[in-house]
Amino acid sequence: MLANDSLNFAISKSTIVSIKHLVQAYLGYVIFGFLIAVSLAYFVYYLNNGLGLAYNDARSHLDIGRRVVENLNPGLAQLGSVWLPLPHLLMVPTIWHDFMWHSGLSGAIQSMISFVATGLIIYQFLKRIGVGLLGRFAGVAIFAANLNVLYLQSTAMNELLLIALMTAGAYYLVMWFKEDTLLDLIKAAFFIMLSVLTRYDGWFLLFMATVLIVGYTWRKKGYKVAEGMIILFLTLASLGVGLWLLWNKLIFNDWLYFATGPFSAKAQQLQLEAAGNLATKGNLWLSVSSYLLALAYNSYTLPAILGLVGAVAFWWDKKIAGPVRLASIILLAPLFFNVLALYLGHSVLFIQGISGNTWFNVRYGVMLLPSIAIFIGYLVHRAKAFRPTIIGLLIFVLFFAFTNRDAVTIDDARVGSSQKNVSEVSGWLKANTANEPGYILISAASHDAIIFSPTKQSAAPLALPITIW
Amino acid sequence: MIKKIVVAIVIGLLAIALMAGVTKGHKGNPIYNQTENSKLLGGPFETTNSSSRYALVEAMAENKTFFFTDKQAAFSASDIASHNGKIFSVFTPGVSFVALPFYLLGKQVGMPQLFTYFSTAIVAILNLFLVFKLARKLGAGFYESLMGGGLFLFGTNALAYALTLTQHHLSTMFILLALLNSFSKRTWINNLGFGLLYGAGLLMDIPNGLMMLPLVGYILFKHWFWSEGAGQLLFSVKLRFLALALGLMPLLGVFAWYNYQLTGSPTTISQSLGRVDFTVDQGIIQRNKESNRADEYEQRSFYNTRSQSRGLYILLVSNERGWLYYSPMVVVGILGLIIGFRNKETRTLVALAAAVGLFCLISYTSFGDPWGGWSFGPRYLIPASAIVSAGVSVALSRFKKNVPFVVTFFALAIYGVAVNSLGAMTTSAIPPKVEAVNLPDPIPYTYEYNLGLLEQDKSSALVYNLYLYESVSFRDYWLAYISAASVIVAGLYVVSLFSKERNDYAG
Repeated sequence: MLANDSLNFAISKSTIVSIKHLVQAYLGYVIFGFLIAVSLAYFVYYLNNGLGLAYNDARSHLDIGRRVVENLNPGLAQLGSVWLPLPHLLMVPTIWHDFMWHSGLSGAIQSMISFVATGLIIYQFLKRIGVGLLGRFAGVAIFAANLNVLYLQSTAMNELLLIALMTAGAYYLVMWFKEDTLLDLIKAAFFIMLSVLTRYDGWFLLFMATVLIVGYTWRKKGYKVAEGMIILFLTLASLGVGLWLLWNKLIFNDWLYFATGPFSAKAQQLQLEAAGNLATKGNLWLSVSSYLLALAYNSYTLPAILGLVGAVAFWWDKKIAGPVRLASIILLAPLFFNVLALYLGHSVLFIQGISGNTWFNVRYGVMLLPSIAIFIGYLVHRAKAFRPTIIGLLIFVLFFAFTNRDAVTIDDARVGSSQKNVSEVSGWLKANTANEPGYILISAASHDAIIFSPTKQSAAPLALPITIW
Repeated sequence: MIKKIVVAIVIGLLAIALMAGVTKGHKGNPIYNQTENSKLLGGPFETTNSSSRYALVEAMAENKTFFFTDKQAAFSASDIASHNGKIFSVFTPGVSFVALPFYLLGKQVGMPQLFTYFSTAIVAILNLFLVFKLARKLGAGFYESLMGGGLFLFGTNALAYALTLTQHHLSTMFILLALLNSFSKRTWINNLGFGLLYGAGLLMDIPNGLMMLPLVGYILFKHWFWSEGAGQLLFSVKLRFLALALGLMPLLGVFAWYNYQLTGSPTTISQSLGRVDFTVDQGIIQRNKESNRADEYEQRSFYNTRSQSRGLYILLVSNERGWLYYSPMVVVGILGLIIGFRNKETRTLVALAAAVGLFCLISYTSFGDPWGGWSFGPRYLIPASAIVSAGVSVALSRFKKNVPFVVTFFALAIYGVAVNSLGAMTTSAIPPKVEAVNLPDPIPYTYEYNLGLLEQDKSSALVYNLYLYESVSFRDYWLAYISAASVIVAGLYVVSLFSKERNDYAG
């Protein structure tokens, strides 16, 4: 209705209440559906443009999974000790199928599920700490509308699986601090145990969680309760560590083979150090700046800054229970772990411009994305006066990130040190050995990309069994 | 009231005097560069972002066209674009449109360059008072607000760019006017005015449209009303928001017509064609066009998120263009904005002003060239400097009796005046580090370059070059200038201490 230079209309309160209830009840489902659709679309996109398997490590992961079911000596022993076993174990049910193996879907499917799960955990996390719909939506959007995340969830890399498990572990731990429900602590232990079996980042998460639980319960409830809680927690949470040590003893006759063996990260890092490529070792400033730059490039910088502002506001907010604020430090575990690993020389990270003219492992910066998303979600909720500004700036940044196809993880996979182009070798092998009987002796330690690529049979590239030496 | 008007007029006159003290020019007949169009270091045409706009003024005034002659093209290269073999400025035309009457006036007295550049200088002084007005709206005291305005113009690199024919001061003026407009009552007239300001902002520089977006959002929001009735919510949209579009149309129409004349399309701006080079001997020299990119993952737009961390470093802390390095007083301004935000009455305005400043910062940190080519200080942040300077007034109003604060404030203010007047009196063409160190004869990439020129007595200040060159060393002239500016700031400070006026922050 037009009156007094105004357009007027009325909506009954009951309709608004219904809409509000509808949104509150179903927004989670809508986000769930949307995340699934986005996940599938991006997997197909990267499969079709050939980038899905650009990471050398993605091909290695798929080969390890495949070796369990197809090899001269198939079996679980083929899981090896270079990488922790969970990602490869999860491939086993599907990797036998050539399409699943060679499309990368066998490895990507767990990344895709993890992507969707992480989005939902972020939503739930924000909901449980009292953040409104807009903040929850913003948090999920920051995580999901990131080309680095979308790319990694489309590959057989294990970042998204680790992110989902660590975020789930952190979520249940914070909920235990918030509500003191024992089941939350057990769930936290379960997911942390799984993260321990996925990557060594999980071991640091286990350490941080243990310190937080002991410190908090000892101070609040005394030694006896602290002792009980930590036994309960560690029984499940540290099971993965025990199983991994046992595995190494049983298969390699050395409890610490994964840490000291010839293919361990340490051995690789020693080679890099000898070649002068481990500049972060013993250099705290370079370690911090390298990781922060990786974080900035993966997050598009502004979200990382806003995440920091959100974190400070969160820790400052007296309306949030002290234990929850304390426990939320767990969300920074990837930051502490990566800086420490770089400083101690257990990890390597090349940032173009400060570590020569290449990228390597820059994807490590993506590990903090869920934490950034949670803190931004909180900030959007809390900073009411700046809400439109924050959302506007984020839309600006994300719009141009997508316009420019800004994905540093793809650059690392295409032209950085994380890629490996073996087309010449594999082409030669295919031309000269495809019709020859017998096997090819090849080191799987550094030639998984060749093993993965079509060599003897184009339909089933790894039809040739391999011998590890 | 009359006393305040007198004080404001006195400050205006002093600002004009201080501006005159740094106005660029060299001795000639009687003043060099009125007809020569020389790219002399430190002269008015030392950078092509000024000369390209000046060439457009000349083309309009002398040839009644937007297209350049060969001489004008060579003078403006490489800030030129080409279409159908014709050459024109790569910039939006607003600055040149504003400068045209000044050129015509100056031509009457044989000083077209000097008068053309007055267009920016006058706007710069207007900006001083707009910062003052904004500070007053933020609840700062009268004298403190004048100090904030003065420090914007003389304590940041706004001074160096008040002496050029670039978009920065006009952009700042339209942004500040739009900001003040957005906080006024939403009437048909005010909406019409905002639309005009938005259109004018676009004519000066396209990114202004982005920086003003928070204001657009806020204004649109203010046209929505809702109230509770019996069992229903009543929504009302004031149709006067349509006046925003009405106000926007005339200048947008001018822009479209200008584009159509140049590129054959009302929506194709010259910047989108890409820059070309030109020499009289070789004619148009094409650069690598973006469409020739082989790699689909290369940057596609002006704003690149990958550059943001570098841009933040360059524009905030680096010694090349860092805001904190050239005008550390912004820290005081940010403190003032925080204080203003904590005041319920000014919270919304602070949030709105900060939004404009943040859009300025974030957009230019994502810019491919955050340095702004060969320039002085963070020239793209001048609109943000204006907003932050209003915050300086608020902080002063709150802490003017706090001795450690006052000492810190004066140290930062005098540093800012010293550095930025040095830039204004010598050159605003300092290369980025990557270029400076790779020159055949490397030169400094910070204001050390300006200090070097100071030591060599290479002044670009017209008053000094015309009248004082033989009697005073350039160094003494610079020190006298800093002293004069500092005395004015100190005078305002002392007066503010004795002022009985109440403001929102007086302790």
